[in-house]
Amino acid sequence: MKDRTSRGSHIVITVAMISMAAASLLPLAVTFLTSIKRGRDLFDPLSTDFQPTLDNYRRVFQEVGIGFYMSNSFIVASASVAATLVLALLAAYGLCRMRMRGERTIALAMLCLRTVPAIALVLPYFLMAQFLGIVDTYVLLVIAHMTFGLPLAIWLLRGFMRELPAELDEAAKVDGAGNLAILIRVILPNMKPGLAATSILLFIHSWNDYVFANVLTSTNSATFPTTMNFFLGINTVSYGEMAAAAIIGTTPILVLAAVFHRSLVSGFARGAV
Amino acid sequence: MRLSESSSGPLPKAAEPGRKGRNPGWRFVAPSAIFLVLVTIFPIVFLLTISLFDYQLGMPLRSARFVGVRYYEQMASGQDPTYWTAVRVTVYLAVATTLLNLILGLAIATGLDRLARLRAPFTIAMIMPMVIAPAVVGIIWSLLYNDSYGLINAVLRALTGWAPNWLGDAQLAPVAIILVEVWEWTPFVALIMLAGLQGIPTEPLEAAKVDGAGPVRSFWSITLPLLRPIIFLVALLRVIDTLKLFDMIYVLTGGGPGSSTETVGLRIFNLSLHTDTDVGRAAAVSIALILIIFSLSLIVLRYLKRAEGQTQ
Repeated sequence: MKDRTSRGSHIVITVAMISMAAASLLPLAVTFLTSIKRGRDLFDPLSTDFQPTLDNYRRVFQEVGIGFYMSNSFIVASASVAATLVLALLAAYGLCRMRMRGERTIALAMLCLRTVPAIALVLPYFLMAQFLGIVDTYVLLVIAHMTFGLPLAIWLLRGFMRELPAELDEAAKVDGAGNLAILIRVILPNMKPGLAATSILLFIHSWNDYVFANVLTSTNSATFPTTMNFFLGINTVSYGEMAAAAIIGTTPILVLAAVFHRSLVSGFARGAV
Repeated sequence: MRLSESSSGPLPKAAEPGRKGRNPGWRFVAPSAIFLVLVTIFPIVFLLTISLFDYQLGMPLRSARFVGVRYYEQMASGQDPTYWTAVRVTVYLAVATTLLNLILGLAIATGLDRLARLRAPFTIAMIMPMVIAPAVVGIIWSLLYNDSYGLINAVLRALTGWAPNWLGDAQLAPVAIILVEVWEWTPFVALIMLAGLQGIPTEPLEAAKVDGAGPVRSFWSITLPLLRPIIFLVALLRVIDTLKLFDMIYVLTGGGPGSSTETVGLRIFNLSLHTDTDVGRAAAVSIALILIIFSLSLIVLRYLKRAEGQTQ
């Protein structure tokens, strides 16, 4: 069927698709250009006649100290991904491989949990954290991120595990392996793509979180997205620095997405929004 | 059988013949289940409780005064007009965004379906918008929407001489938000629709062509109905996502100008953590939001349950 598309409409479609891809990238490109312009060059956004400068980047690193926030983001994201994977693997294995009644209900309940809005939870989290004295700690933010990552991870890993044939387990069981051993020695090695897709999605969600990071962190554990606050004031904003900060913090994620785009698309398609 | 000679430990309990004990699967699921109950149910119970009190942020807990369902009454009866304004804004944004996402996404997907192969750079370009932190998306678009130095107005001024203040106009600000959401999620919707399109059997379409049906007619009468389940699911998911929006709107407009972009989520934030300190009222609004989204997700749940049952 598809080969019968006429040459003409094929060209039209290709042009349309390229325009769409360009539209997706345009805002990023504009931001990048803004980040390498000096203040006086910002007045005419359509001009391409300007001398690029790295001044904005220098200032964002030195004065805003974005390196600190990036490393916090990395610590929190890595920790929450690791913790989430451990719990989720166990749970997915339990759901998948051990005939449990109501298994599908539990799995779908996981999906439902993801629909709880973060802004609704941020208030009680803040109050409870204050009570426990853990405001502005890594642990708090990791827990908050796990709240949304865990249901997603369980749902995804369960989906990936279901695709592994049960014969693999049977072979190991015949050799007398216990459940945990089966999980580690048989299931895990065969799930590398699924694990990769899940980890990347979890990492991105954690890195990108603004709601929890904004309310629950202060000077100790503030992550990258909170640096956007510096540019929200009514005072004169340095657009160049703002753009530079955005580019710096987003580049790691963009690189991840570009390298692992196939994993990401498969993860998104499995209901990982 | 090797089992009797095995010295590497006992069989898993569930496999032992005649044993009816508690299914060990629960031992694996329990840590996650306990964690999730603690971090989700607890806060919700907390919200429910505090929504019955007049409690201001920063004051000692002892100062909370019991007011019963006052906040809920005010929300339901219309005595609290800000609540319904927020609901209206939220519904407006949700419906407009989802409709545009679906229509554009479907159009793009049908185009993609005709291309021989989706090349990697193209896919990468399509997923970029949705992996950027929403807060950063807000910052990026604030650059574009800037009425003096923004690219959008520069182009508009050059083409038409009209360059409105996007973020400062109560009518345009919601439109600005909708456009950002459309930009961010249409590629994703297109990819999902594409998967759906590629799963459609070709026989009905070929039969229609033999019968002389044009491309538009066969799309409308054959393709669309077959896609209906996916369209429905994606629409629901997108609506739920828009209801949860916060980061991007907060960074771009903060809910303003006035309350023209103050969604329910932003209302909760402004009520308790920003312009005001009314924790009790904010908790009541939070509960309302959770209930709304939960009911919608029940529909998704029932649909997915049916869909999964069909494929087994």
